[in-house]
Amino acid sequence: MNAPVDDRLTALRGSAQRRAYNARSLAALENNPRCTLRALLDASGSDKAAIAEHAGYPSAFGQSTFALARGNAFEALVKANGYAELLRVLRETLGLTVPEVGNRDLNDVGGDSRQEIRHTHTTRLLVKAAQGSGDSTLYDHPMLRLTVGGYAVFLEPDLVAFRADDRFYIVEIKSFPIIDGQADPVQVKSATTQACAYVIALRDMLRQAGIDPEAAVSDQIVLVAPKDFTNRPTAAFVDARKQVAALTRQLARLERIKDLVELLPEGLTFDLAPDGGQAQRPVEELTDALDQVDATYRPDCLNHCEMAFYCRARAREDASLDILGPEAREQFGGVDTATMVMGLARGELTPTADQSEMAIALRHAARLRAELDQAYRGAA
Amino acid sequence: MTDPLDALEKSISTLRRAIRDAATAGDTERAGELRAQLRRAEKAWDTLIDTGEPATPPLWPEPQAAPVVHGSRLPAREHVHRALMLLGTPAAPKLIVSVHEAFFSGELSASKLSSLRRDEERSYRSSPGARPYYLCPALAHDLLSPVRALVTISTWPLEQRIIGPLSQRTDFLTGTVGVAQAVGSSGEAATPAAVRLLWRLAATIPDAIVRSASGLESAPDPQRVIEAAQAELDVHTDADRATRAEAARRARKSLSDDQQLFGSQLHNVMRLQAQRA
Amino acid sequence: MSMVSALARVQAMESMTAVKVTAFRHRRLSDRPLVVIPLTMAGEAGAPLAAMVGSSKRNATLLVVAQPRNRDQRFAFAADLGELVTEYLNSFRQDRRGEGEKSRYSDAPQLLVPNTGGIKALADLARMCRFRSTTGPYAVADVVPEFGMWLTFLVERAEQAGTCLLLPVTGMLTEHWATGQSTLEDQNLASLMAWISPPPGTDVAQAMADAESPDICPPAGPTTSPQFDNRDLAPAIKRFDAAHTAGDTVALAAAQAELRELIAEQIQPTWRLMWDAISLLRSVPEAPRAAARFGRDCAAFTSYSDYRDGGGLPQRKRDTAIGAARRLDRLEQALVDFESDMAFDDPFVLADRRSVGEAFAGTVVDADPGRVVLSDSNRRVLRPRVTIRTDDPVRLAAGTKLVSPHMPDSHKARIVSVLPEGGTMLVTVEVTGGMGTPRTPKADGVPALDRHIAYLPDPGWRPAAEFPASDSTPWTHHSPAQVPDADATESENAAAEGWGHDD
Ligand code: SF4
Repeated sequence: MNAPVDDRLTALRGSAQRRAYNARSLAALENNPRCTLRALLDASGSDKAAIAEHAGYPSAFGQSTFALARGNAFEALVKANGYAELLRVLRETLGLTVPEVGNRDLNDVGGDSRQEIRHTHTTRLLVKAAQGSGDSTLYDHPMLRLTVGGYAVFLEPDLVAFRADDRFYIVEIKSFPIIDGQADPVQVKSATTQACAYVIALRDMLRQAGIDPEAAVSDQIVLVAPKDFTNRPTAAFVDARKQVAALTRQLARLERIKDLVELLPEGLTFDLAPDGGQAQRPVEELTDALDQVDATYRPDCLNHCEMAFYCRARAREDASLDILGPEAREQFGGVDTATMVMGLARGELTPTADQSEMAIALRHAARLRAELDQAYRGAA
Repeated sequence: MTDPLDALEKSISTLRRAIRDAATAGDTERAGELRAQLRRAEKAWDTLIDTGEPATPPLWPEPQAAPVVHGSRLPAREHVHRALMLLGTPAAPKLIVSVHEAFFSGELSASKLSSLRRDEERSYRSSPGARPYYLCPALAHDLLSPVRALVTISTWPLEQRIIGPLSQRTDFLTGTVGVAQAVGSSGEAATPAAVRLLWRLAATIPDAIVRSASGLESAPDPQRVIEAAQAELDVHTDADRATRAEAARRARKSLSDDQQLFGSQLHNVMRLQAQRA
Repeated sequence: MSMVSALARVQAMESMTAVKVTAFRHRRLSDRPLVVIPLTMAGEAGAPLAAMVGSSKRNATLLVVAQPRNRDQRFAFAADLGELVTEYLNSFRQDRRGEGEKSRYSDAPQLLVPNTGGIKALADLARMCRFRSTTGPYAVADVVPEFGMWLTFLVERAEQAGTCLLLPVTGMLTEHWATGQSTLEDQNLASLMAWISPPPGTDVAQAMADAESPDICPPAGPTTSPQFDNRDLAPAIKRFDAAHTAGDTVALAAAQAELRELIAEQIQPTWRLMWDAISLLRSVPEAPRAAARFGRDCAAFTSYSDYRDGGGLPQRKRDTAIGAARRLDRLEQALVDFESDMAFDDPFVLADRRSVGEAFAGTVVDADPGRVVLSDSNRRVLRPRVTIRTDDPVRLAAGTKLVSPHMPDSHKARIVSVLPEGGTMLVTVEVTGGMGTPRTPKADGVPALDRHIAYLPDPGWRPAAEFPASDSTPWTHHSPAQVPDADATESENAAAEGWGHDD
């Protein structure tokens, strides 16, 4: 990334500390990839939650301690007793052979858990394994690195398994259950999207060592999760090929952040404390800055983005049809606001040429509803 | 919201506003509900102010060792020693506690065990060799650094205390054999906890547990478990021993006596790494 | 979504209030529904935390699992809830009418949960309970598997369009009202109610904001808010556990009481909203055809009751391939029938179909009521024709069979041609049923000139699809040997649970 763009991004973030991407925010890239505001906030390492809160729309994300505790307890259980349960399920799904039991704990290097050190150690061991001279099958919490928009991001999968057929498999240990062979599709998807970042990072690492990355890292993710309502793990393959491709594309887009930055007005910043210290920037100034950047709000943002309440309020203020979601929106192709829709429906606005077909249908629908309103006025 | 106190204050003012709205509208039912929420939030706020901590005051102390227990008065470290001797391998605190509960009496908890481990090293350093044994961490085969998740006994040879890539599996299998032998020798007298422990360990070893045609699993047969574990052990033993022996040789050459027990510290690790690079 | 429903949402958005999208309530609403609000513990599958249950607003029972991770407490909860629910179900097995095949109970139960998540929570609970053994080392109370099987029946029935034995209240509300927010936000009972009937003294905008604040409107479940979990619930459970371990009965009772109070406060607002929603729904008139659909619910309830009385086996974990195909076919047919019923009953729904060209309405501009043709068998038959002028963008092809909500039930027709004329369409239809014979034509068998009339496609009666015989015994008649999943591996799972939560 070239320096001027970098400088612009730093200016956007201002005095706040840089927030690195993590597997979660990378996974969020897949949702609403076309949103410029988020692309800029993420690329500049701005703290979306803090910005949303300062703007008066604190995000509602929070994790229950129960969910956290359960997740940790399940991972511990799967890895307990020398990975006994994990080996059992991997023997069943991956077809690990009996001799394939070697393991390396990469949570720290002789007590040092600094990311860089762990990353170096991980690289050494994994490259060795890929070259055929490794001594292990299970690599516990390897530290991977991915360059996102010019910055190094450290990523840490639960486990990477290296099978005798010279392939690495990302193993995701999740505590949502697989009941009668089926798991909640939403949770599976978010787990695989997260795992995709690991696949890409691991492939990068091997590519740099001159190893064919596609051959060496499978895009089948191994999902290890509780079976039914027990604590006993079971495992399943999840095909992540499409998602790996999609995330790769999104990452490439981030590299082109330059194009977005160039369109920004001079001096734009999301800094909350331009004078240092407390977050004391006048709220209005901040929202003015935010409003200069395009955001493509959609209801799904509520599940993924810290800015969602802010963007929703803004969309509502603009009477944007984005509020209603794509199913309703697509009925009014080419029209963006409720005001326009109602204007066309009442015949107060003249449709443009490419709106004319939609406008006919709209006016027809409006007539139908007007008749009904007349007939059923008052009730309820 | 980052600061819990800020969050609470915001909750409180939101609730006050909502209560006012409900009261003005004469909606007593809703106002009542909201007042209950307000009391909660205020209580949480008080607690936070008092303790500076989130509202998780353990009103009752964490369950520690009960004063009198089934006639066993051995100190905790003896319990650990006994469980480790039964397994014959380095083990994680959780497994040690399970073995203890399955075969021995007396109170031993994982939290007790972790405080114990800190004491051991201190005690050794103040007067080395004063005790017949110490509980120490296992050692990583490559860096000879402590593997704190695993507990060993100082009297074991280095080879037994070192962990190579295969060692966790061989130790697990060896430990299972130990448990199976203990269950086998107690026969009918084996406690349900012991049988459950054996079942749990054996369930992950190929062919250790008979499955009937219907998929029903029977109670584990200790002899069968031993044979199955041994069969897998035979696959790994040679390679594992070689790694451990090589590492032990290196440790004897380069580490001091106390390092051979408690592991090499980080600066030594770096030096070692540098030497090998 | 059709243009009409999309427009309704825009209208709601503009006027900041919910708008009607049906004239009727298409679901029967029982006089005595059983409201169930299940709460589960975050991160834990099928770990119930609490449930508030009752068949009237003043008669709520709160059940709480003090330590959801504890298997025994979980099944004690399932047994308590099971007692309540089965007692309710049994109260509908009193009045039975008809003989033989036609014999059925005259009324059927109705469980109402806040949202689709509530149904999922009950489905999980059902799955957790129905295979449990009432003997052996992991025995549960007799009612637990029974409850599991009944719940499974209700959950499966709920998948079928138009049924009303188990319904999410959010679904019932959105069938009748459109809001100016997304369907995702409509899943939140409190925000939905904010649009339809904001609390007195609050406008929609404020009510919407309040609905999303976990302080003012605790979520309707099944999951609780992380804020509540971390701030209130976790410490309370911790105190319970500590008292439990210490064997301190006084402290235990105190901790239990505190947990109950805490959860009651969380669930109470939803309980109130549920009953508010129910009385709102009561004020909407029931659609004419809802009664016939309810009759089928009664039949299904009766047949499952009889099956249970016969000691029937639990439902399979997963359908066989043929079973799945049959189920899909049944669900599809039910959906088509339900949509057609609604359009027939309800001008709003009809308007929806009209806007996409799947139905039409207009004025009769030409009529030949006495038209007679020779049939294939050379008989003279009456085949009146009428032409209707409509503004609707008709997309039905010639030959489509039609029915009309404005004509007697026996009336049937067929499209002859659809021709655009100016900005309108001329649809010529031939009457094929309900018109009488050349000698005795029925007076009201043919729509008269200048009359306004609507037509929509006849969903028709379609024979049940044929499926291979190997699996053709009804699912109610499987011999034990054919149900491999009542299930051997369950004992393994039970055992696994036995040592499961040991952390
Ligand atoms: S919430 Fe706003 S910033 Fe975030 S993705 Fe949606 S539109 Fe973009």
